Amino acid sequence: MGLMKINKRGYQLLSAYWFVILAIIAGAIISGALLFYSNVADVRGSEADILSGKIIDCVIKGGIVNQEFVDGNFDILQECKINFEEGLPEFADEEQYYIQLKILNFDTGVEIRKQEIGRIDFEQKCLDQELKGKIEKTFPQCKRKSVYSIDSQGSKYLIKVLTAVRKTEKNV
Amino acid sequence: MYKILKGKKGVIGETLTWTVATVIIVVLCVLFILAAILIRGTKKFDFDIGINFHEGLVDKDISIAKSFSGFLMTENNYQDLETDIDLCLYEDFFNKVYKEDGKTFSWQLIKGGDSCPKDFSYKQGTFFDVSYKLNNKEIITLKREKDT
Repeated sequence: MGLMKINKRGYQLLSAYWFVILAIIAGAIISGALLFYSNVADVRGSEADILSGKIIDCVIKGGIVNQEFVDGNFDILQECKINFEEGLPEFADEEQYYIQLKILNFDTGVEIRKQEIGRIDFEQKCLDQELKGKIEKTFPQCKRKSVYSIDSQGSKYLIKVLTAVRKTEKNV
Repeated sequence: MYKILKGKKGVIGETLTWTVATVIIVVLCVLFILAAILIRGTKKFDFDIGINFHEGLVDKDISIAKSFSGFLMTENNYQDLETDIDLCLYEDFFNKVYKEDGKTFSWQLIKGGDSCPKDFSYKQGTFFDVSYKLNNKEIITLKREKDT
């Protein structure tokens, strides 16, 4: 190890430079992660889809519709084990869901029965979005499904399900 | 371990190296942030919503699976479960049920062809697959719903 003449001021500058580089890289990683994970994912459409699927699966078994459901003696929420309670203070005062079920005669198209659960004003908001052909983020997100079924007597039905989920504050 | 810098040329060379390195690092960081911004917009959720069939198989669209079961029950007249079913009727049936939902149906790749299967028969307790094309793109396999 010989005697070395070192420019101390230069090394001080280089140390400061390394801290700056370190800060830039750390800043980029943190901002990238924050930008990616701070994006809110809107799952209301999928939630409405799951809700309608659950109802259809509950009222139709093996291609045969529940007769009590057709007759109107069927408590959807209880029988299908659906709970609309959100348990969040921001949703304590108003319901966030809507279910509409229409039972039609498959051959004639005549409506036999209509049942609504939850916020009935959501239907108009679903219609508005469908007419405009555009999803309004501040509106409830809706899902329509049709399903064919027969009862134990062989009568044919077309069952139309409309579900809507609001929960705008959590998803937008 | 230490590099002894002698004269200004050496210092200029080192400074230039790190200046270029800094530019590259900053550009890479900016690209990383831009990529994060672009990717975050593509977050999508695709749930395989459906009904559990035999052997744990799942159909994506529960309403189609249920309607198909209802169709089979209707064509069998519900009582005679060993009658042959004309699946060619299914296309008209499907289009009637799902006309308002905007779903269209066409046969696809059944026994090497693209038309409805003529020699199809259904017996109680048997399961089968029928492939068809939905909205002219997504190929879905129909399975008879398990009797419950």
